[in-house]
Amino acid sequence: MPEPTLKRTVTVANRAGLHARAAVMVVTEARKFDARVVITKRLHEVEATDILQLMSLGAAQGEQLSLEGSGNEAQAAVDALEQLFLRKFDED
Amino acid sequence: MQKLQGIPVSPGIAIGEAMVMDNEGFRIPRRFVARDAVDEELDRLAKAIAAASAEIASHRDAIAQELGEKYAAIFDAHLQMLQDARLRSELEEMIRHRHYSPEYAVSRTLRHYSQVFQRLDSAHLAERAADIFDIEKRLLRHLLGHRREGIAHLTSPVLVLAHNLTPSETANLDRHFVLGFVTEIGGPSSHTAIVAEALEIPAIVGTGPFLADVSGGELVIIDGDKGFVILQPDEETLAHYRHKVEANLSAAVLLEALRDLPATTADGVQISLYGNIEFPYEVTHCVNRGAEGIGLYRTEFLYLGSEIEPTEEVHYQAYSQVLQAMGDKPVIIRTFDLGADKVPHLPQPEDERNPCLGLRSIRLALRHLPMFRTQLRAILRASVLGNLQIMFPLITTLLELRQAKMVLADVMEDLDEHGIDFNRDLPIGMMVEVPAAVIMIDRFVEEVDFLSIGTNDLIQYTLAVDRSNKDVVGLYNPADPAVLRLIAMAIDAAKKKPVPITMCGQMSGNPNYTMLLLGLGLRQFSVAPAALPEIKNICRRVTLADCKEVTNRVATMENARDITNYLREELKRRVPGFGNA
Repeated sequence: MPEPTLKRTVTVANRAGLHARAAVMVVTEARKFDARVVITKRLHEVEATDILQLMSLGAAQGEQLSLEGSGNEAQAAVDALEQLFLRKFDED
Repeated sequence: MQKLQGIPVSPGIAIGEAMVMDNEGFRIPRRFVARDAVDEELDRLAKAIAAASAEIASHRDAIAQELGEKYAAIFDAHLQMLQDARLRSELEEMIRHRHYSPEYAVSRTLRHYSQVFQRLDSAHLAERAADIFDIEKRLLRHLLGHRREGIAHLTSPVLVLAHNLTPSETANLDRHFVLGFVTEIGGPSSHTAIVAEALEIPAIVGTGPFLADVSGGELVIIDGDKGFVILQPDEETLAHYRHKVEANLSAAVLLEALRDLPATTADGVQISLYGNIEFPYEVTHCVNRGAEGIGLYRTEFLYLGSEIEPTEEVHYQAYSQVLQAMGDKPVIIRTFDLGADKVPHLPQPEDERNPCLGLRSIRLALRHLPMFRTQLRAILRASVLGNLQIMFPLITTLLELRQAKMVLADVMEDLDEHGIDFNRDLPIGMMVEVPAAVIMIDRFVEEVDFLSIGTNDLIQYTLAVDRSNKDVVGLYNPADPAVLRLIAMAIDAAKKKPVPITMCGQMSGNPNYTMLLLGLGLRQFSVAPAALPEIKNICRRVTLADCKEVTNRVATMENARDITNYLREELKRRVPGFGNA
């Protein structure tokens, strides 16, 4: 039985996009949980804990990403990451 | 043996020891490690990452304390990137399985990431490539330690093989020991090309990737005439090139004999030949080849060689050196002709996606007046030392020319107030290198003392071709009929006024075009010092009647390739023996 996954769509709302500082916040947050979160932009999938990969998504303002969590704390991890996007990474 | 083709940007043959340079001046001593040294090398990598991380962390804390957490955030990102698990496993894989040295693995991998970032659509994200470079440099510094070597301090002659060279590297290189250059990227107008031409050493750019195939210390041949780089040459090839070096030396001696002869055509028309220079020491090259003056003194390297803005005194010292060496012969100083992205001490422009059409040259000067005024003050002060003339680059509109002249007049007034001596009648000229300027040339001639055609930009803007872009470089051709018409228009307007007109672009130093340009009415050429004897040789061997015939024939042709082929044939026919020299 594959683990159930939890999927959610977020929009990059801050002006600068998913740049270095925002990516650090994602990585730091993702590491707090016992979960694996995969972030997808169109067909490009990356781990939420991998900063170089995250940055190479080139996610700019207005783009939609999907967050897909699995593992014990999947729910909490996806919630926390979604919050970051909603808070526009405390920018703007 | 391996033979690569690149773009030849400075002629000549060099044979010697390779010095392989990688990212930003780091010389990577070796690319491969012995199989049994893999564990040791992995350990070196781990230590370097740990040391670099500690360094970043302490920077982070210092910045956070001094400027606040917000400013320290970027170091958090660097730290995360450096400790990225995937990056680490990629590096280890390269060392373990491909036996790359850690230095080489770091450079390869991080360069790959920076390319990915550079290709991102969002300009803001693409700029993050700079962060990757920063991490790469930091890691390399820890890996190489004191073994790091640049080209500023050398102890023996080398051929420099690099991915790319930065302006400050080329400006500060040790010119006694660098025999030639090859860069993987870059086009005919790259700094490497300009510096190599100034140093009169062979150079080839745009070979594509090859550094992985050569190690420091190997024997390499650079054929700057044909654009070949030969790695691990065999005996026969080596002998062939050694022979060529000898032959070039004797040809140079023959052309040298022309030095004191006038550049007069076979039917007695007087032609003036000037030299183009970038560095004061090139004056000697011009004088030794009988140049009648300096037709273009480019001042960009004063800005590129250092991180801080050059002071008035730095400018003045350079200019006075040139003027004193030239005596009463004319010296045309061109004010800085740089893009904002190339000047380290200026704020980086925000919208510079298209630098050729952006904030560069006179536009930049008029935007950063204090910097412009510093240069103008130095030029004016130097104007009493000889026959100095000033020239503004990239003039597009009359308004721009007037603004530049107004700033100059203002600086003059300033000098007056301070009782500083200068030549009030300093001739003021402009570069003709934007098609708009040619179209309006009848108006421009009313407001300048002389004109100088800059062909490199004129061709680029007329044909809408970036010649550093290999996909379209084939469309860049000085012989394009549209370009030739513009040149003819400029020459005709200058004659009518009359004001003197020179051509200082690469076209004027290319023997293929000499007859055509003479036929179009050009009487002053400003060329790279190395090209002076050849151009003089052609001038002395043709008649103006011949040249007019060539020009008339060209006027009937429709495309650049036909014209180029025809000109090459004519040169062979009318100046036999040329090219065998």
